[in-house]
Amino acid sequence: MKKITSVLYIIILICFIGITALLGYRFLNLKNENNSLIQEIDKGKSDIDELDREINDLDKEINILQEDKKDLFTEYQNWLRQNKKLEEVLK
Amino acid sequence: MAKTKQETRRSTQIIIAISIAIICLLLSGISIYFYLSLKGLNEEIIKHKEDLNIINETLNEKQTNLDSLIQTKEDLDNIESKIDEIKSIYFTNAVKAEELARSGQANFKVCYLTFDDGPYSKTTPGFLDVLEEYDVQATFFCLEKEGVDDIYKREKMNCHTIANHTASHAISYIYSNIDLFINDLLENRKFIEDLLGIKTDVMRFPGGSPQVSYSGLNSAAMVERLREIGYGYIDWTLTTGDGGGPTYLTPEQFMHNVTDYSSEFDVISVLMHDYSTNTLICLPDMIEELTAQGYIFLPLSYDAPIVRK
Repeated sequence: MKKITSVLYIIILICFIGITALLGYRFLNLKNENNSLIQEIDKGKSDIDELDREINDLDKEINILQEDKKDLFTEYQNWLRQNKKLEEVLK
Repeated sequence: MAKTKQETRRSTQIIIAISIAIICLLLSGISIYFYLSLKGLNEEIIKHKEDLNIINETLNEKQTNLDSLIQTKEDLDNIESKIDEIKSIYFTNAVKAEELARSGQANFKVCYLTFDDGPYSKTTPGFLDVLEEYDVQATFFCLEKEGVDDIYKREKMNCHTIANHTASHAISYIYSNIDLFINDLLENRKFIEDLLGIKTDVMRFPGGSPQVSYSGLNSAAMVERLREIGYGYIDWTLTTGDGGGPTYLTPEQFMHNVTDYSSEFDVISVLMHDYSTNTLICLPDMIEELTAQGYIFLPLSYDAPIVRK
């Protein structure tokens, strides 16, 4: 009886430890996955901010260039249009 | 009395049982904590994955936008060479158009509208307005003139050819010898190149090419000198007659001088002067009548078959 009781106690302990370990393992995995996702999200937001900055800077440069080269830009657009018209005639 | 062995064993068993029970309770508590946290973590992970998808989509859109802006900036930085590129394509097509028209294989004819002696501050803008309204290109045989930089620039911006008609148009001076003529021509070339960054390569003789021999100069030698400095030249097929003066004839007469005879040809160049107010008045009707006769309007280039080299 004593031996049976000891074995029973050990089995019960092993079961409880096993279940706890499984749950703990799953918990840690999900926690790591969540942390990775949070890091990726933070990096993504930071990349978006960086892109926004680049876009704004480039926009400003382009606005200045477009102002400085307004006539040339118009001339270029006009040539594109005239060439398209001529190519239609030649078809 | 000392406890009996049995009693001691019993106490030990009870302590072990209680310890195991406490351990099991603790483990249960930890397991319950883990179990409840898992549900919350799963929901967080699902939400974070959705957020990450949105962020990735946003990143892709912004990257596409950035790439497009970079291309735009590159285009602007290289706008002059892009203009040269498209002009080269255009004029290759224009030469092809004239060749087709001449061969009779085309369902169109080619007209080169040309305007001499400008720019004029009071009248040239009006000509440019009409050409813009009809989306028609022309050739301006310009002299060297101060104070009208914006008109030269507008001619260039609207894809008209700017050609050379000498700097001074001083016939008695420039036709006194070939060197003087060439120098006058080169002076105007430099003026236009400094102002607009374009090197002219098409010219028209003031008074037309016969003026060379009328003035006692050797035409062949003159043409050879033109060739050496990279110029082709052109006279004209038809003219409004406004060389006799801006109101020498009525607008209708100016127009009929061209449109009454233009149907006989497949390729024409029309001589006009952008000081002539009556020519300006008849220009819209002339363009419409020439269009109805099947003409398309092209600006001249050195490679155009109509330009003599």
